[in-house]
Amino acid sequence: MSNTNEFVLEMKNINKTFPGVKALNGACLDLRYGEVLALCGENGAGKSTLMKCLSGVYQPDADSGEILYQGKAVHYNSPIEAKKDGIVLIFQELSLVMDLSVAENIYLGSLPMKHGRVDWKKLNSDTQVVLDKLGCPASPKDTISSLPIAQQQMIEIARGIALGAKVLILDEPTSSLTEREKNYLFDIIRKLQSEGVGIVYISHKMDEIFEISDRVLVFRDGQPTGKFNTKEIVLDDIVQAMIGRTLDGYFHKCQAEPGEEVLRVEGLSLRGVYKDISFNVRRREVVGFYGLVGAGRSEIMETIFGVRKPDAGTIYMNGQKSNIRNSVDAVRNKIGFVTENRKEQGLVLDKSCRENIALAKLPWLQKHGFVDEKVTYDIYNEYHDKMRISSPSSEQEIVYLSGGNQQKVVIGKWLTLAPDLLILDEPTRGIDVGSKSEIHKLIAELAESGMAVIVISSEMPEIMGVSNRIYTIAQGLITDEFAGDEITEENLIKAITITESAKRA
Amino acid sequence: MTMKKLKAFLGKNTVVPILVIILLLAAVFVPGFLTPRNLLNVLNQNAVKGIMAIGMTFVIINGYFDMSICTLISLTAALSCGLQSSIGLVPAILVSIAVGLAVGAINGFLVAKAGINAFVVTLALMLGCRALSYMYSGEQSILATNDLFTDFGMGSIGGLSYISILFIVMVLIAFYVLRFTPHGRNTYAVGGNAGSAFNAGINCVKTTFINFVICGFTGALGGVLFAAQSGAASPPLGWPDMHMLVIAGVVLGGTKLTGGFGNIWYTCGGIIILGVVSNMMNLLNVQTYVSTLVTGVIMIGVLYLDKVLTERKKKAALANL
Repeated sequence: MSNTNEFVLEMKNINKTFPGVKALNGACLDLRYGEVLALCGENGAGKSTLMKCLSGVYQPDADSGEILYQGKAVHYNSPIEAKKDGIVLIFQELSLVMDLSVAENIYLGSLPMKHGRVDWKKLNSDTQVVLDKLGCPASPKDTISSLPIAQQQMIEIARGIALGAKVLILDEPTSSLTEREKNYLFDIIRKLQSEGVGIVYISHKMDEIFEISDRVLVFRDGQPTGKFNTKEIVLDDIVQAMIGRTLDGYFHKCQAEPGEEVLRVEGLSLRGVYKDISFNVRRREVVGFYGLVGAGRSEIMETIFGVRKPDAGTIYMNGQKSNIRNSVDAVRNKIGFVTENRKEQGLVLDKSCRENIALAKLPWLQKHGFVDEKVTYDIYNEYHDKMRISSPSSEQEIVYLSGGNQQKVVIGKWLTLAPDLLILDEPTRGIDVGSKSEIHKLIAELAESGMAVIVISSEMPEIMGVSNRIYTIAQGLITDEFAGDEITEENLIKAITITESAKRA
Repeated sequence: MTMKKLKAFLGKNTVVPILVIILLLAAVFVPGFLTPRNLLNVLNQNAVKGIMAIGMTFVIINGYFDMSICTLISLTAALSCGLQSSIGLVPAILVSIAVGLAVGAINGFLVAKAGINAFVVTLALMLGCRALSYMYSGEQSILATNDLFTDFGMGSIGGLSYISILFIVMVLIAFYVLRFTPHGRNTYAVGGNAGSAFNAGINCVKTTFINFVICGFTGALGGVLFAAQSGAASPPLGWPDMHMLVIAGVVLGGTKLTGGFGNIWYTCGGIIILGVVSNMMNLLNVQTYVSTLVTGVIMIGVLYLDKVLTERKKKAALANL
């Protein structure tokens, strides 16, 4: 108990295993009163998992060390317990009730009562006190849905303050904020800091980390790999601690010589989403798009596929200016798009493998206005062998297949249309390691057979393993392009974490 | 109230301008509409529907809806009429109400606890109540024998029926519950965002369960009052669209079917709009089915207008960012 005065929180040797993955392996963290601790690391490094173990969303493995909060060992079974104790986790997605007032949201579940009825007067005045403390201009009676995002986020923080939070965890809090709103958030963080609240700040944005944090803790593969005082270090120290993973040998890169250009994009912009996007993709080439979730990667691809309408810019397919207004046009232009959430957007879950794989080709399979079922069996058999789909039969409902095989069906579905360009958005999300490698091999084979392939991924080893060329994306901008030997972890991390405010203007 | 505030109020509570427009139209174009007697008539004719809409408001703010009241009213009407000669008036009414509470509890359990879709659950209970009602009544109308019962149903003070007074009292109670009790506020939270309500430690299952029971209660009471009003219970009472008219009244007022937004005044406004429209048609001697058609058209018109207004508000809010 010697540290009670200094540390508000100490986590020692925390382990957390998910089926097949060791997400945390001896993770440690300590946090002083009135300190901002920045938590860095790639996607999947274990930052969020650790915070979820702390706040009761997950339970650490039984062989873990202890969590000391204000000097006492604690163990939470749900976020509610942690919150009541003063450990408040604020997720990226806000969890407010949109049609209720600011005051009610802050005191949700614990409204002040008088004579058995809700004491609105006290509720509103208590709320005003909290809002004043944060310098938030919203009124207690405002409806949440009428507030800008930044103020909604303040309300989330205010909720924590009202509960008497001693530890506040902010997970990527600035991802949807403007520069001005960010400064506003930082003012609040400093204010809370001066009142002794310990703050864990998870972010990928290095400039923010240097601006706001006192110390930095870097994670890699579920372990802390670096612990610094922010004042004593430079950017490279953090990057060095983040990288150093060995690339596993299971990646397959397309070895062919790239051919003629299939897709060229020039100056594509969509206000508030991405800006001035230019790139090209050639035959027999896998081009990677690396960036954080929310950087605008999927939106750019959706635009090429005709789902979104750009404000400016041109798209050329096979040297011709393309006029793709919707996904039907895109398919006609021989573009295939494997979306990131295959269960919602890629598959008809209750239907069989055969029906799913023949789905995109259905308009071409008609005979006298009816679908020629016989041909769908041929299609299934062809792609079953080509894609090495393991399914007990053609009639197996897709929902019962493994993630890897589901993904093969989605890819197979597009291949039936013989696309010139295939876009894969997070192709191996939720897929086990063995099947991942199969998918990677397939991607390389497709490119070698003459297709142009775009892969979006937020997993660095994957993007480095499969791509011949990589564009990095941050905050809706292409920040850099790497090929061959330039593709290193260090280059990629730097390219996506440095906010280039100048470029954004 | 300043002009700006008034504008904001009308923009948020679209039922008010819509109601005003309809009242003005009726006052100008329908002879005999704007008499105290006719206006009281509108209220008296719609009070029972209004009472049923109170319970429905709770369920809809909670994010669900209840179709079972459609035939529940026929069952409780039959029970209250049929039992009053054998076990007495008050026990007969109590049994009827208990049946409503039980139906609400079954709805609530299946929707909130078992997680079955509210459409399917309340549809099943609707069919069940219909069957029970026909079995009990033997497909015959049952006359109410107790004079006290029919006296209450048909009586009035100064033109205002007893049932209307009951309706007004219940609206005030509902207002209090929704506004000032934890259960009322929890209902909004659960309907608006069940996930964050749960994270804030609110018992979502209990909240939803109670609201279905409330709806069962007001539904059962509605049946009893219909019987008192007409002095008899006929098996097809409520069939096939009473629940729809009640839900329409609630939604017409501005309460969101998706949950989390609305209040009891909206419901009053919605029920009055429906009542005024039907009253207008009556006074103009329009055929019943034409009147139904017009009601449908007005419903779409009002909800479309509401959608347009809210979209515009949303766009204006975005432009301000």
